[in-house]
Amino acid sequence: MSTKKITLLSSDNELFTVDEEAANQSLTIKHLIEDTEPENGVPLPQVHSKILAKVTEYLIKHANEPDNDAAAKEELKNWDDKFLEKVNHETLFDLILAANYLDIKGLLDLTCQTVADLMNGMSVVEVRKLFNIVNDFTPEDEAEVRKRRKRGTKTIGPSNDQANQSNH
Amino acid sequence: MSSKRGRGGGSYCLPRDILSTELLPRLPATSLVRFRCVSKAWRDLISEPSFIEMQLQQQLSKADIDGSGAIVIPRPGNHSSLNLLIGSQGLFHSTVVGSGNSTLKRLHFNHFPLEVTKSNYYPCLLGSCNGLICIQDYRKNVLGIWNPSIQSYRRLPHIPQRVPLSFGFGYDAMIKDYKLVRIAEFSKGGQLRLQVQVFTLGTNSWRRISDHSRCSFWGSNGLFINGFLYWKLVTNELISFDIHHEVFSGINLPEAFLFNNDPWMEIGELGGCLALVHELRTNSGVAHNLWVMKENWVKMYSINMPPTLSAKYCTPNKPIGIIRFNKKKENHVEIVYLSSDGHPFCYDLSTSQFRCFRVRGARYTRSADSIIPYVESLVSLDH
Repeated sequence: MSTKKITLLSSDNELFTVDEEAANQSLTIKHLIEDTEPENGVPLPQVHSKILAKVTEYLIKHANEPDNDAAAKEELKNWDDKFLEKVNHETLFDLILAANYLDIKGLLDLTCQTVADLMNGMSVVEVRKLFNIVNDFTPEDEAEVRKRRKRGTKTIGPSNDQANQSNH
Repeated sequence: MSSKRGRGGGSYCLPRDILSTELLPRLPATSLVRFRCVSKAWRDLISEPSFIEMQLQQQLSKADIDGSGAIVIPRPGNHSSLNLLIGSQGLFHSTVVGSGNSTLKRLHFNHFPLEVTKSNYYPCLLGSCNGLICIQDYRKNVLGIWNPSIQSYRRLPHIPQRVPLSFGFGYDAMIKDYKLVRIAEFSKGGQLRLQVQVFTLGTNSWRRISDHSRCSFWGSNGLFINGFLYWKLVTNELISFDIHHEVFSGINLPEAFLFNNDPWMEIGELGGCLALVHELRTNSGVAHNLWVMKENWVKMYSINMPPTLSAKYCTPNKPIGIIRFNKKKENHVEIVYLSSDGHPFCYDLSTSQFRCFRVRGARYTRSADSIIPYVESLVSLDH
């Protein structure tokens, strides 16, 4: 088995070395080194060293993924849970962007699912805050959107069921 | 992609394409309905047909891996109410739906669109597909399709009374439309025949497809799996219906059935395949077998009922369905039964254990229960 090493260069000029097999999980890196292999490491100007350190940790762990070994799969799943356990929101979002840019499907799935689980228990206000979204609804708009959820069934009460059908 | 992207107190942006294709489709429909209020851009995105389709596919593949997202067992309630048992990940809880009230917040099954009255004819849930539930008020001959997640309801056009025996609700992927099959009985020249009609949601109309001379007893409603509806007839025959080509076919039973004088059985869905559970009585005791239709029937489980348990739980209990779920990373397959006094209970094939679930306020009847697999979706009934 080849143990060729690949060197990655972060946006702040830090070098990270991983096995080629680990690096190839990133389709972006795979394509970059297919064409020419840069002498001073593969430049990844969009990824900061702080994030690239996490990304390479993931790549190394996930190289040689087990196919049919249930126990090994279980172990890897537990590792994934721990991997993002103490990560703050900012890092999590940076990891999503890096996984998307580097085209690492497993890491993108993992990070997006983590954020989705997080959002599931959030209120609208909390979601706006998390994504830095300004509420652009006028109070009237907002009342309308909220009302729409109820309207559909309000007119379909038992008493005017018949009348409502003519609208369809 | 520096980490200083976030502006103002721990808030971060993601590009729209990551948001719309990678992140938001992972959320359940009921959360997305709430998040329509986040901003105009989010409201528009969550209403886009391409997004609705992507979210549905994501939820369906999740259900394939983790087991059915939820199942619904309709039961008559006490006063003016319909009691639904909602199961998700192996946990059941009950909700009472009436006109406009619900004790259940989680699946937002409030605002049940049909009138529920004090009578024996409570509304029936005929089937579910892609988050849509087909409902019927038998007494008033009203049929409707309902998406509880987005509170959307459409009443179907009236069709002349002729006692319907059975229904089947499913999705025709070829024409991207939903169909409801209605099977009724009528008499022609002194002989009973079957009349089959198909409702198509897109055209909002009924069509009569064919009459069948073969008149069997259709005990329950069709179960939709991957383009086909399946019925178990009272005579213990299996019938399939190709939802696109609209043709019926008979399905052979596992050979073991040929030597079984008095089998009872029930069908269900397991990992996208038709599954069948049946009882085999031998001199040595009672065995329950679970078969799955791959290319042919494959026996997945055979359980010998412990004598003490079979006295308590077995026949005349009847199975009403099969459920599958992941709990603590373990895959469970359970057969859901109704006991002789009408209480539902589960038998876990992986752990060989029984568990009961009791529902306060629900009446128990032997005839009125069925399991309806259900996933939340944003699929709209507006056209």
